[in-house]
Amino acid sequence: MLSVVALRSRRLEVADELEANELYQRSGWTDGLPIVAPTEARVAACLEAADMAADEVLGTEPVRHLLLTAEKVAVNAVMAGCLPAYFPVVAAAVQAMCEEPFLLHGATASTGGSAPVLIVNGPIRRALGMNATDNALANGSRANATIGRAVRLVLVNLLACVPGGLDRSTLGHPGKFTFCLAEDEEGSPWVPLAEERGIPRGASAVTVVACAPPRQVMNEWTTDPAEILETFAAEMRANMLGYSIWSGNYVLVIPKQLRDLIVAAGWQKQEIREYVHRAARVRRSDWHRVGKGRVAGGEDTEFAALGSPEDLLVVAAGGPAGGFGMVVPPWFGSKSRAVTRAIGLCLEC
Amino acid sequence: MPITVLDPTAEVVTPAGGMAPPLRSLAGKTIGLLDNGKVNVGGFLDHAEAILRAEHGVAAVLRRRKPNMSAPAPAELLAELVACDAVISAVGD
Amino acid sequence: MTDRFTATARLMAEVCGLPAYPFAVVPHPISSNTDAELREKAAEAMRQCAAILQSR
Repeated sequence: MLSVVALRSRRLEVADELEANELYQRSGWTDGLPIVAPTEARVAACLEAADMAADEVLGTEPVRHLLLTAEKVAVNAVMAGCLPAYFPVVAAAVQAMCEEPFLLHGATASTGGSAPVLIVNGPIRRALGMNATDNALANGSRANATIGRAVRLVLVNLLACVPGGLDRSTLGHPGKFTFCLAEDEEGSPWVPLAEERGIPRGASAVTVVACAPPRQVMNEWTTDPAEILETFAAEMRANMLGYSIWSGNYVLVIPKQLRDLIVAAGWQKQEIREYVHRAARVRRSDWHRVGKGRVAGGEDTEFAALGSPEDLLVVAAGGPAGGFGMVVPPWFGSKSRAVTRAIGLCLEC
Repeated sequence: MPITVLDPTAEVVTPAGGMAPPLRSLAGKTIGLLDNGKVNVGGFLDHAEAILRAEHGVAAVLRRRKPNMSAPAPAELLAELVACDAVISAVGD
Repeated sequence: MTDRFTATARLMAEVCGLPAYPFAVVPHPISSNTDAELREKAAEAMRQCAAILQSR
């Protein structure tokens, strides 16, 4: 059992749990929703569950050279409502966000208002009761909700990403409260996302992507996979013209009804990627149609949503009925790249 | 029943930084102008350069542009600018 | 910077250990300005910069 003496955070004395929440709200240490009081025992339990020392450095925010320790991340995970068993996922997500390709400072401080979306793979999903089916991108699972929320509290409290301060988001989006989903590996014959991105089969992992708000599509009127994916590609083209034309890591979430049709036609994730890579393209002159004629001048270049097919992250998730899909665009082109990190496993050892 | 809770913030103590000494005058100096890459900053700095030369007697201007507006300027670029008498970085927008 | 970013600049100055760091501030925005507006703002900004660079 980790000694609470090893924890180095400043101690605060409060009358009770409700007073703790009021103090933290007044201090600007929350996302506006009530928090769970981070007692020494609760924080120690998280560290124990991840087998981490309190002073283990999970990552460094490179611009301001801030160290993110396991203890401090655990304090915020407890506040978010995480059970100790969830903490290894939170820790891996923070480690992933501190890897250089994610561009932590830019992705979290920009006026573009991005949220980190977490996609979880592997056995840990079942162990924690994570939801990969009905309402997959929203509420219902304690693990999904609190793991995603823990990441936001880490950004607020450890990286000073406070709205109006270092968080310059003009609007932000609801994913900034929490945005964590699990892949429906049991309901899909496709290779899981993490395995495609280099994590050994059987290991658990989390992929983080700095994302713009998700955009829902619908096509219940065809069995042709090309037509289904054309609908996704059309939404990506709309995003390119309406929001940002730059290529980057898009995430497509494909629930069971559409997935079954795509699978029946023999398409794997690679066929999906190749189709969308070809189809999700616009021309500079298209900007005239969306009120951006003033910057449409010059050569009528073609822009692709994806630099390569591999830039598309395809995730099987969602409830059993409904011909819906979700396009999750990148925060801003390829400034921030998706990062996948194994959970609780040292791959280099 | 009173409880003990933990501070969730970084609790980092920042060492005080130091300011460079002021210039006695801009006349005859070399001024670095750093463009952060956002739209219109180039045009803004074109005017700034003309004003510095015409109205403040600045002798030379070093113009540089950040390759990525969302990341800090690369070390090599900063090293060039540090050699100037002063640097103006524009524009937070 | 433009006047919408002064709070952030203040925060970064504190983070860097220079809470009283002075900035030149012009009206927001820049990205949609005409050339005449840019010239006017550049004049104001250089006036402020000259004062900052030469002040004690």
